[in-house]
Amino acid sequence: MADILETSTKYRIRQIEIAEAEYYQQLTKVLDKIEDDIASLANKILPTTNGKLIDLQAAIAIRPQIKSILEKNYLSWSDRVVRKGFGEQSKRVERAFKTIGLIPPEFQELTKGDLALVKNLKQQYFTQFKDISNTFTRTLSEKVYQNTLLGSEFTVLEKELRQSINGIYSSSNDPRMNRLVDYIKRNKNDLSKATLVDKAVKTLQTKFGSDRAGNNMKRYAGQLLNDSLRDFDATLNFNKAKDAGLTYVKYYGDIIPTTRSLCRNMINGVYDRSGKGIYTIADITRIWNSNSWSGKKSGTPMINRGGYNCRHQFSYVNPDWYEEDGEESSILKKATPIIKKESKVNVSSYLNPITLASIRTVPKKVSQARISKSIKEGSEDIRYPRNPNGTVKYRYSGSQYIGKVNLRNLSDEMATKVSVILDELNDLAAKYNIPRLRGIYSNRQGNNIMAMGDGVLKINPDKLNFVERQTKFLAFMNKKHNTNISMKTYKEWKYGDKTILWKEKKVVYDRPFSADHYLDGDLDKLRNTMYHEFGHHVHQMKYVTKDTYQYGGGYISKVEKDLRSLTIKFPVKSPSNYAKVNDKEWFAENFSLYSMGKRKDLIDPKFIELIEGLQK
Amino acid sequence: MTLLEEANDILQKKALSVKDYNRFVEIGKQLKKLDDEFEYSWLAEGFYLRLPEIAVKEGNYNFIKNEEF
Repeated sequence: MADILETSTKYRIRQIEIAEAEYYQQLTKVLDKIEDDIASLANKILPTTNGKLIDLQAAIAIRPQIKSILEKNYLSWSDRVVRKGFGEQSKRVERAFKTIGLIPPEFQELTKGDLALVKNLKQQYFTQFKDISNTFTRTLSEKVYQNTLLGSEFTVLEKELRQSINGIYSSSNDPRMNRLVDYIKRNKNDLSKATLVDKAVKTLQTKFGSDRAGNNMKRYAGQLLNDSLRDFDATLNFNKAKDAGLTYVKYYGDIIPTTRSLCRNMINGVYDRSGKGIYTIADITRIWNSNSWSGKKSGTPMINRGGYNCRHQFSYVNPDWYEEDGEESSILKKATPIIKKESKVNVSSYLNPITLASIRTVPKKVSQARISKSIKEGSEDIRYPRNPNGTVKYRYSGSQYIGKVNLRNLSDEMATKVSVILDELNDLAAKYNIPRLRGIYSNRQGNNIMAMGDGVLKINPDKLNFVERQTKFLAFMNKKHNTNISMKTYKEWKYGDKTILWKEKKVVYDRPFSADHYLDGDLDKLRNTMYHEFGHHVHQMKYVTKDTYQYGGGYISKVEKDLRSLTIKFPVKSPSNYAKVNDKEWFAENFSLYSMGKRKDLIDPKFIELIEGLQK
Repeated sequence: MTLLEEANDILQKKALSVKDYNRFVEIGKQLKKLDDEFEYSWLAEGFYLRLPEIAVKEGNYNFIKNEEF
C-alpha cells in the first residue's frame, strides 16, 4: 500500500464519477420519456384546426397533467440520487477515513452530527431538484398557453416542448440530427471521446441550429447532478476532517481539455510552497481568492468547486504524515494504522481553534521561531505599501518593529499561546484577503493592553491575566457603585437588560466593559483580544495595495471612511462599553465576537452586513 | 473629574495635539490601582490608533519617548 491516502481519494473520486455517469444515463432515459409523454399528451388533448392550436381552456387545463408527468418520472429519479447516491457516498467517505486510520477512532466513523448533516444535505439538494421540476412545469405550461394564444402550428409547439426538456438532445424528424444526438448521449461521459462529442455538439449547433446553451431541463438537472454529488462529498469530507483536527489538504484532480488554469496550476505544483503538495486551508483560500474565472462560485473552495464539471477534490491530511523528503511517511505504508494521539497539539486554525487542553507549552525560542516564520512571510507580502526606494511606508508609530519579532517578558506559556493563535490570524488574513501580520513585539511601556498598526501587533505582557483583571474590575465597580452584580449576571448581559447601571460623571457603564468579558478562561480572552486587534488590521489594510501611494500618517482607508459614514448615519448597537468609544473600536469589538462565533445576539446586524462585504 | 474620565475625554476629542498626548501618558503613569489601570489599558489601545493624527501635525513621531507607544 504505497499511498493509502491517494488510493483512497482516487477511489472516492472515481466512485463519484461512476455514480454520476449512472445517474446521468438514468436522467437521459427519464427525460426522453418525459419528452415523449408530454408531446403525446399535448397532441392528445390540445384541439387543432388545420394543424393550428385553437383552445385556450385546454391549454390551461394541461398544466396539472404536465406537473404530474414531471413528478412521476423526474422526482422519482431525484429521490434516488439523494437517497441512494448520497447514502453510498457517505459510506465511501467513512470508509476512506477508516482506511487512513491515523485519526482518533471516534472520528473514523460517521457520528450523529455527520448523520444529521447527511440528512440535511439530502433535503437541501432534493429541494433544489424539485425547484427545477417546478420551474419546468411552469415553462412548459406557458409555452402551451402562448402558442395557443398565437394560434401556432402544433409542430412548432411540439418542437419547443421537446427542446425545453432536452435541448439539443431532443428528438427530431431529421435522422442525421438524431444520429448525432444518440452519439452524444452515449459518449458524453467517455473522456476518451470528449473531442468527438464536442465536434458532434458543434455540428448540431451549426448545421441544425440547435442551441446547446438554451434553458433546457436536461442542462439544469445534469448540472445539479454533477454539483450535488461532488458538493455533498466535499461537505461531508470537510466536516469529518474538521472534527478530526485535520487542517491541511492535498489536492487531487486530473486534466481534461476544459480544465481551468487554477486547477492546472495546482496539478503542476505552481503554488506548492511546501514541496510536498500539502496546503493549509488558508493557503487554498488565498489561492482561490486571488484567481478569477468565468462561472466561479462564491464561498469556500473546500466545498465549492471551480464551476461546472470541475473535477478537483481535496483530501485532508496531517503534515506529520509526510517525511521531509516529500515522500509519504512510512506510517502510511504500514498495514496497521497508528493513531497519533498528539496530532492536534499546538495546531490551530480559524475554523478549528485550539482548546487549552491541546496546548503544550514549548520553550520561548520555539515560539519565537514559529512566529518569525510567519512574520517573515507577512513582511514579504507585496501588498504592504513601499516607497519608490523600497523602504516601507508606515502610518503608525512602532515602524521599527516591522519584520521583527520580540517576545521579551512574555512567559513560555504566553508565547506558545500567541504563536498558536497567530495561525488563526493568518487564516483570517486569507479570509479577508489582506496581508498577514509583519511584526509582533512585546512592550511594557504605554500601558495599553495591545495595539495594532501597519500590520504590527504590540502586546503588553503585564496585561494578559485576563480573568484576574476582569474579576477585580467587577469587584471594584460593585464596591464603587454599591451594587452586587455577580459574574454570571455580568457575563450574561443582553440588550434590554437594566442589571448593570454604573453612572459616573461623564461615562455610563451599562454593559460589560469589553467583548472578552463575555468569555471564559484566559485562552479565549487572549484570542478575543488578538482578534479585536486583527479587526483593526482589517479596517486598516483592506483594499490597501503596494500602489496605495497616500499610505502614511494622514491616510484614511476605504473601510474607515465607510465605517465613519455608517456610524454617523445610523444608530449602532454596541456589544460592550468599549465599543462605544469610537467607530473603530465598535468595529473591532464586533469583529472579535463575530470571528469567534460568540454572543451572536450582541453583534450589530449593520456590522455583519459590512464585514460580509469585506470577505469578497 | 477623575483621571480616568480625563483620559476618556482626551480620547473623545475631535482633534489631538502633542499636549493631549503628553497628558494622556502622564495620566497612565499616575494611575496606581489595578482597577483604574484596567480601563486605561483599553483607552490606551484606542489612543494608539489616533497617534497618526498628531504625527501629521508634528511631521514625525518624535513626540513619543522611550517606546511609550
